[in-house]
Amino acid sequence: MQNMVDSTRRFRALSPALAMLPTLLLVAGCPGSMPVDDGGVGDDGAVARCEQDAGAEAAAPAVAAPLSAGRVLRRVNLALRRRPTNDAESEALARAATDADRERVIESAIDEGLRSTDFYQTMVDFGHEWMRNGRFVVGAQGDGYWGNMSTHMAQCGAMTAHPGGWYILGENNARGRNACSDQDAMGMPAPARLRTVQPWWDPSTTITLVGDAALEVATVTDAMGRTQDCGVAQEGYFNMVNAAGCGCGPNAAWCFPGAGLNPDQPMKSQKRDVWDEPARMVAHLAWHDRALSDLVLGNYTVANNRVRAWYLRFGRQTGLYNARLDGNATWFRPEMGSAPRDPLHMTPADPEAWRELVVEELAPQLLSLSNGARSADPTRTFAWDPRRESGPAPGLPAAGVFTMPGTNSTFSRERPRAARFLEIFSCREFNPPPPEQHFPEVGPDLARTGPCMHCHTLMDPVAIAFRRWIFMGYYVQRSYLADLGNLEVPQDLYTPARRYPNSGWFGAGADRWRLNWLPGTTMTPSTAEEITRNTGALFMDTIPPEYTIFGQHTDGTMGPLAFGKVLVSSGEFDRCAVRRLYERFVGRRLDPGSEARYIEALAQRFVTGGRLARPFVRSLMTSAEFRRGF
Amino acid sequence: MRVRNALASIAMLAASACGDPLPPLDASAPRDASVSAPVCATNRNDEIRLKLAPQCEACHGARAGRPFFENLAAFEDLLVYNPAFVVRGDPDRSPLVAMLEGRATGAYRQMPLGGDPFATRASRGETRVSMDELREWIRALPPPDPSRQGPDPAAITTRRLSADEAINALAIALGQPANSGVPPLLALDGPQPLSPDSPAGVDYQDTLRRDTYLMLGGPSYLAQRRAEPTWSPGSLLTFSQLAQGMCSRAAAMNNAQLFKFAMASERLPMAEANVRRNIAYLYERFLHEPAPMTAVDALFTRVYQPAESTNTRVAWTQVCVALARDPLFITF
Repeated sequence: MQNMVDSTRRFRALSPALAMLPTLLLVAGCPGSMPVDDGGVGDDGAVARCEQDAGAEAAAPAVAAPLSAGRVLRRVNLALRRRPTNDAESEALARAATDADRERVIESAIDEGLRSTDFYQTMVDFGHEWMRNGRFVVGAQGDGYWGNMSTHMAQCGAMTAHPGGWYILGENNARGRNACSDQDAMGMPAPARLRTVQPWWDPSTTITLVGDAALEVATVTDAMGRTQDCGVAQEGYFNMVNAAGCGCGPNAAWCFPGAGLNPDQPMKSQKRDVWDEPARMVAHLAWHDRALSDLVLGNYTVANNRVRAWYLRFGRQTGLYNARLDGNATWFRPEMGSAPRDPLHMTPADPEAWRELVVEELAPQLLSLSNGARSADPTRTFAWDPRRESGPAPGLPAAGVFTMPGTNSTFSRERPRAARFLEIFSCREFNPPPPEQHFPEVGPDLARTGPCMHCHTLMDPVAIAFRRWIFMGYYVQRSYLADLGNLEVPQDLYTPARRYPNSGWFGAGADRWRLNWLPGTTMTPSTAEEITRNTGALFMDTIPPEYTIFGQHTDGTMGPLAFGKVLVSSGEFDRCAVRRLYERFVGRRLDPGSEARYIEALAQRFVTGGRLARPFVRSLMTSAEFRRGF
Repeated sequence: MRVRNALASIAMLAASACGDPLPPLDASAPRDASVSAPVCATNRNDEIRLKLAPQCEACHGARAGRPFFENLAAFEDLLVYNPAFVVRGDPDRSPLVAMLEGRATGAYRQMPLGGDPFATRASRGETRVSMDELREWIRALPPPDPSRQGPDPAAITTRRLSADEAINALAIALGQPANSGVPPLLALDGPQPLSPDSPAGVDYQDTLRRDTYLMLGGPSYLAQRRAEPTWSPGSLLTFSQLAQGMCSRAAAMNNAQLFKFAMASERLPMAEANVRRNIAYLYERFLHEPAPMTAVDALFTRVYQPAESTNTRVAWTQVCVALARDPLFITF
């Protein structure tokens, strides 16, 4: 019983919530609970023992004893594999005759754990916890529709003329035909056009495209006499549609097999995959021993075929390099090339494999600045100042999770993006200012006036970099980079008479920009004259080099890559990353108030080790700190 | 009058204890009650900390994003010996001085953020320390204390098991395969609840099991719901119920992992030795530590024996549940 009392005493030291367990078990009347009083209320049972325990706890030394070998092994397995020691591992430890033997068993468990696919999966879980992006929502609306910029397809039924064939969703009613049954709008026989392709989502097979889906045209002329690019998805209900008379493009790349109407995001859905992408990137970097700072500096991501399809459609919408994108016949073939992939999909041709991708390859507006090579070189730079330029920007530097759809959707505007990324990567916490603190009266610039400046002084310079990613569409909103590629912001945007033809921009937030992006403020460092000269100056997303973030000046790089560079060069990224890793793998939060030098020392070790997660985690797990008891 | 005398006595005591009490603030200046109490500085840095505190700690106190004034360690390690703020020996190159004087460049041009900069307030006598004194302090700043390098030795070093870990711990203790992977908890048979992040196609309608997972502490990353950091009354009760269900099932099925040294049908008093040996085995299996005799005795006399009068299945269920609810089981 003494051991149980000891356990209870140690347990009470953990936290108020943890310490409630014995009491709760008593209240719940659960039989078999260890601290249950054997004599009933009033006897010298639980209550008296609790009092004694409380006294003993108060007198107990604060420093805890090291854990036993069995408990250390359990902790290793929980940390790396999210399960305690299993029978085989317990037996190995039991066979160890000496302390040295036991140490070898523990070390072996650490090394095997770090090499196991369990570690990859643990890092995916850690990635979700760290990156914090929720389900993909379209803009701030949170509906279940899915603006994936693809024409959606359904399969012909088993009793039709083309069972299993894929037709463009809606063709059978909206366009008045029944291609699956070889009938025209009047129900008269009309053999449907057919085309056999190797589909992008499963290149190991072939499928039959039926009806319009089988058309092989690049452009069509609409009723107004305008030429329409078949590779660009137009408006639709839940279903993006390309222009009438267009097909699905090479390898059905302009189409998606299924509708976007499922808000629950089942496995193997594209919408779920873009939610998963940032966390997969965390796990990928850890697994392949890449610097974790590539999360904010890298021009690459990891993507299975569905995520690749999303980037391709995102890129194709901009009108940049259409021929190159349409002519790319390898992007969906996992067996091509030697891109590092996740350890759970090692079969060469598995389209589910999360493979490395320099995003510019499929989304040319996300600039690699490295001639297409994978890079996280902090000297990559690209300047674009719409205050002095005319016309849309040619691209935006790719910057890891900062330019991923999942994060930009969940954190759907520039200031929330800045706040969340500051929390995620610099461990900042944004709390309201103290009520007794005096601030100047609120003015147009929230970073300089009013109680808002308590947070916005830091937040607004960062928010500059995150304003270009917008969501636009009449019904289902799609991702765009504003005033970039073929999406030039109209110069007559705010001319009242032009509001109707510009209504897409107002749906995307033009009224909000006019009200909140006030010229000459910290977050909008463009003057009214500059915006009048070029409306695109609204989307000035270069953090001015004269600004400082964490006491550092930016280098004038366009967009969030400049923020990523400051995060890393200031050391904020490293200090925050080691705090996150420490909390996950050692099991407690470091206190920056009392352990700042320890955090700094850990960060130094992390940097010296190349910012690699695996060796850093190993060093944590072999530390004395990992073995401390309660 | 009695109250005033008492306050005066306290002030005298404080002054005598500290030796060098902090100078009073200007009576007309805004005061912070939390720092007007008598305090004792432990060294020169601490003295400066306490003198700066009335203007700074409201935004830079404990739990702030930049908790410079949480304590002396934070003040020294985050601010004083951080070259981003203080260049030892050179106040003119110290960004802290520039901020206090309202001439810094960059995002934070002055401190405090609102109203007049610190230096202006100091020139009006509204602060406890002058800029001259601050400059002199930086010129004479001693090197940092080398002793404070490691982790806080008094920090709590464990945490609760996550929902996944708790379920996996039960599964392994009862000889079932642990679930792992992303998303977790895909098992359709058995009592494991599904994560809300689990694929809907697997078990679309089973909201009860998903809710149970959240009641265990989650998380649901899709819904941006983070895992519960500590056990709460709700999560503990949910875990207890889960443990009861799994243990009861294992006992009823005569699970071989539960009965290594005793048979489920053995009855007391003949079976006492086997029962005790099996309890010791289960203790180590669940808690990963050798079982002390006192623990085995307590589990036998206070858990197994009373319940065995009902039947052995109930008795072994109670032993199993008691171990599952042990603090050593539900923590890291």
